[in-house]
Amino acid sequence: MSVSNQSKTNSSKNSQLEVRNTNVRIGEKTLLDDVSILVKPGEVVTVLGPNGAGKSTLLKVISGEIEPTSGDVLLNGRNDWPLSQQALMMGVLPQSSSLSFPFMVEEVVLLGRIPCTSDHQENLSIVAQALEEVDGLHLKDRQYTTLSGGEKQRVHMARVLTQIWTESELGKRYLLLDEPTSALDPAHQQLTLKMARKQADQGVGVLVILHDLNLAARYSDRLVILKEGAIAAQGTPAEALTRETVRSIFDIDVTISKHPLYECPLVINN
Amino acid sequence: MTFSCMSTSRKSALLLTGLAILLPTVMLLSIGTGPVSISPAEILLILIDRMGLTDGDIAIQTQLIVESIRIPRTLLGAIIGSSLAVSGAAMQGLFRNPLADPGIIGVSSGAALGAGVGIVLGSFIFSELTHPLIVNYGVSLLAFVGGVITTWIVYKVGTTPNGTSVATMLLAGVAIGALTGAGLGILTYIADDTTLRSLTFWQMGSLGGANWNSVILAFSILGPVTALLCRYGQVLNAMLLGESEARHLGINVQTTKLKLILVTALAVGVSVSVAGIIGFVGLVVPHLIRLMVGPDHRTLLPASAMLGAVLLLTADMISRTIVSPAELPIGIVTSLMGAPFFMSLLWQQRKRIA
Repeated sequence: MSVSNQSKTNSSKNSQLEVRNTNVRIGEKTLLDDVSILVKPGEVVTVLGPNGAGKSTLLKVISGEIEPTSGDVLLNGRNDWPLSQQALMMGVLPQSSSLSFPFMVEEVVLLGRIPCTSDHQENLSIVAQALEEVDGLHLKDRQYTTLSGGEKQRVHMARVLTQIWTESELGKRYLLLDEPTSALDPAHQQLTLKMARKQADQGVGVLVILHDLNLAARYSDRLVILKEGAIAAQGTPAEALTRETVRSIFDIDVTISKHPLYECPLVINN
Repeated sequence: MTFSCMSTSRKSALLLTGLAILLPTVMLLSIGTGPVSISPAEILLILIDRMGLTDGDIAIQTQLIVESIRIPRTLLGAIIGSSLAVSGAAMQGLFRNPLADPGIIGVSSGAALGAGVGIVLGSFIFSELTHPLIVNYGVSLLAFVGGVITTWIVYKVGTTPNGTSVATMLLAGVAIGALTGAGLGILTYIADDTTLRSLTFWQMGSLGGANWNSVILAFSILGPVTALLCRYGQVLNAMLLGESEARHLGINVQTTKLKLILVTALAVGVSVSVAGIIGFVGLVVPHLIRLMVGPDHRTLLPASAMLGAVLLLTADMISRTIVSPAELPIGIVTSLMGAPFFMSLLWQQRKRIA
């Protein structure tokens, strides 16, 4: 009995993304202050916070780009995955990309399949499906450098999707998105978050950084609000988004009401 | 179906096939071109004769020209053209900037200074080791060291998370050029007559010194190096996205950068040590390939290798015939062709920024 319980706890620990008591200090400055976050497969967790609160730093710590000063990041129970294996379980969309060579859009998205071993035909079909997800199939044969900012962002979104498109034997998959809607029009902002929700429903753990409180409230299972590197509030959207927290963290006066159509809070600027 | 409306993969296949046919053709032409003109049929006869298959009746003189002058020179031109073009393509990928070229950013002149130190001071350093192979390898080693140092400096100075700024890169090239110019000036000042001649030759570039020794040296290093660089296609594609993106795709960026800098510096260093500074091949060739089939390095690298050989052999044929029976240093020919091309690239870039 106790043995089976033990193994059950182990297996759930081995399929989650856990940030444990992480600190990042550079010189005198504390970028992350004792941050702990858990992302489970099937969830959308949104990180909110003012500029400079440490959101992107958190993402970089999770993806392994920044080594934390102390603390630990466990991807499916391990902190020592080789990069090539981590890439099969974790897709990361940075805020902006510096690609300036005239690839075709299809080629850019295909780059997402680099870590994978599937054959070319399968990759091409995955690329088409991923582009469809971000409403970008019509861009397939365009030259990347001629696209608008928002179109480029969607192309990279598709690229990151193709990377974790297929399930990995190594463990559950996660998607880290750093302000994926920053260059998008309202319709594509909704579409991107719906897509993230859909990925979560397919068993992917999604961690997304946003600035729009209502987008966050509508599509997230949980919110984590950072201020000056530390977690200032967290919980379900209804728990985390109160008038007082929003005022103390974002320095704006709002009214929180119930969304007329969905089970989530609605934030109205006063 | 015209070339421009084909899919990228079909274009790539067609281009690689075309180049695979073009390269041996140009090599045959190169062997046949010179003060004594030799027909392709004669060359083939000589080659077959060498293999002991027939008992051909070819003039000893022709046979001698082909075997001890033209073939080594052609082989040397081909391998140097290949490795310069591949190094250029790899550097452009690494720097995420299509204007990076070993000559422009000062890597070649760094290597030339290294080689110059070897040539002028070599007699002091390895006075007992007089075998030409050992001396050659010593000079190559110093050229390699010069190349690594300059590549590293330019990379460190010019590269930010957003790629390399053209301005910084070119300015670094100017600074390094001035510094190596001063170094070579000092070497010129203290050199004796013989070494002075080789120093001048080094700075203008020439395949005229080709012999079987230099061919063996070049092939033993540049062959593996070129083949190795051609395997970095997918990695360089990922690097074009940016260093953190490449990391997210599972690539160990630090190791890759270090390897690429060392390998390209080795390629440039060895090329410079056997043939002097030959500019613009590394810039023009990858650019032409990109215009035809796009920036995918899996095609770009091997195609650049072949076109680089074709282009350098063509330039060498011009250098041998244009002021015949004398010879124009090949570096002058490639600069005459490449510099206007480079200017036009800058012009286009200027328009894009404006």
